[in-house]
Amino acid sequence: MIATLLISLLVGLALSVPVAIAMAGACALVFLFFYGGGSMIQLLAQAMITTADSFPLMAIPFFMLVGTIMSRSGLAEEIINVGDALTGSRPGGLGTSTIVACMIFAAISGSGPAVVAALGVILVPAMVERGYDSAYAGSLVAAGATIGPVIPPSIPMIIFSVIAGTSVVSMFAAGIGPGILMGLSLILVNYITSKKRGYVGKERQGGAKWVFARCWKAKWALFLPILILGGIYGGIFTPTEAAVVGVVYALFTGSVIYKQLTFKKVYDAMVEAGLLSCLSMFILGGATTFGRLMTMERIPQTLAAAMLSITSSPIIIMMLIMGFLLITGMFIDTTSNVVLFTPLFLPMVIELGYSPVLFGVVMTMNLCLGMITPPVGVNLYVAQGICKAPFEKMIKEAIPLATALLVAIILTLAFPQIALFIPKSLGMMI
Amino acid sequence: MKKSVFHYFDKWEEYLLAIFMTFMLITLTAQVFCRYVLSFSFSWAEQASRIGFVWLTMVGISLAAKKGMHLKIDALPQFFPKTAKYVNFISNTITIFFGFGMGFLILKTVVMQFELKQYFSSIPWLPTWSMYIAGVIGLFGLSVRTAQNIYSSFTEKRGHDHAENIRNNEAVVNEDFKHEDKEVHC
Repeated sequence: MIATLLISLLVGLALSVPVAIAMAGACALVFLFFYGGGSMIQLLAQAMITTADSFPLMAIPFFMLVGTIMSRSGLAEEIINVGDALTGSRPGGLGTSTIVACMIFAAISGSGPAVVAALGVILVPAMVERGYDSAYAGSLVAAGATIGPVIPPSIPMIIFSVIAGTSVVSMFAAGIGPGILMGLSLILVNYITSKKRGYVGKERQGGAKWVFARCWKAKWALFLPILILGGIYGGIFTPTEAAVVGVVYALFTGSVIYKQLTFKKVYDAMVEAGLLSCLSMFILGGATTFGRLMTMERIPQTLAAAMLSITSSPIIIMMLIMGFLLITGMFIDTTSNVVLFTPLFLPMVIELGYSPVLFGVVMTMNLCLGMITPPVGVNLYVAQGICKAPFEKMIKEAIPLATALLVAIILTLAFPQIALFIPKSLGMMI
Repeated sequence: MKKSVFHYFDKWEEYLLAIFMTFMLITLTAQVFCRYVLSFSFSWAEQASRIGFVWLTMVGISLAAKKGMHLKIDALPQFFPKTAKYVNFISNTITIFFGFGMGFLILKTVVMQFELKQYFSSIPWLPTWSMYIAGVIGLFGLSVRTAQNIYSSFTEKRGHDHAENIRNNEAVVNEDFKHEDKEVHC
């Protein structure tokens, strides 16, 4: 039975059947042959509906909508100006500003490729103008955008929380530290590369007052993360409500303050956000039953026993899991990875004494790294569409950046406090 | 050039997505506003927005099929381009069968709920089949849209472009919307 389930899933995935259908289809086959079909398949079909009948998951379309509205309201430029004012004068200044802008944007939008698209169109041409290699500029934006799903709000973390039964709020809090670490490690690589290649910064146009003025000009954009995260951690909103408030705020600033939003733009933003969120929701619909079937067949326990028979060292097992996720992250998108492997690995990880929140954060970081690794590096494809450099060259430029991110992941695993310090000090369950 | 009625009808998913998104947004905004500002809340808001979310998801499944955007692993057609035609055909055929099969099963649930006259507990006048019927529409839509794509790949020979599109799905969204913007401006 386990063989039927796994083989039909793998065959489906290999034949490029949509992930959701491959998972639900594998369950349907097992029900048909081993459970006498009928009522079980009926439940499978109903699960596709009832999965979406969930209040926590409703945060996904709204966080997507905040991102799609913000990127249409001319606010990316303001954020880039803040980054430039803060770090623009150092060697490789614009590169560093890129990462800083990516981190700020990450606190607004929950998905990676959206950040590449919103910031890349402005930053890549600007870097090329200041003498940066176009492939390097594209790869840098692609790498910076991997921070998007690690710094809250984060779509993969919401999905992980719903599957693993952890609190979305603690997951979000645990993402802040590692997100900043990822940013710092990318800044370091950019600094070294820029020194070597002579990418110089631009003379700062003023003193501290000027920097403050630049930040003040972007106050409407910078207040959004404070509103969303402050509302969640202040215990005022649930994540879903915070997302709704974020959308209202984005609509207000976009139309009243920046005067950039038109009816057509809002309509497009809504359709895009709805479409993107449904891609994840469809997979979750197929995965719910798949996860239950795996539990019923005790597949995670069997796998855990097999792993523990090889080695009992938690660190080695964790490294094996992370190595595995790194490879699957190269081929499979983040959502599919989270829904496929969270139910499989989580029981084992908990048995080894790791906190599920830490596992979720490290898993998200690991899968985000897959966004800039070939062959399916989504961020690289989006960035290539902007910088027009040869793909091979972009991959070459992406290697040191990806290595830096890998070091950040290993550091977070070695020193869990990086992730767990903030939720712990806020008194959350971890 | 005047667009035919069919052009607008072809965009039913997008209209519904925008409508349900707006509905959820207004319901939840009102809910948050009433709770924090007027200190009172209505019992039906959460359930109503969840029904909207189910509809959003199901309609989106059909739209994603139309745009060829459902997340899949296309390593095989990418590494062996010669197999792409066959792999896509098999994958699309499975998708069509799946959509009709699951849609039919959900239709059975709808009929059952209709006969049993089940209602939502927090919205006592709304029958539960109103939520489940979204699944029938979305999954039948998935099959029909996929079949349309097969048909157009045979007639317009855009099969290859389509495989390219699928590869970087999120990039495609942005591109798609850019194209549409252009159309409007023309």
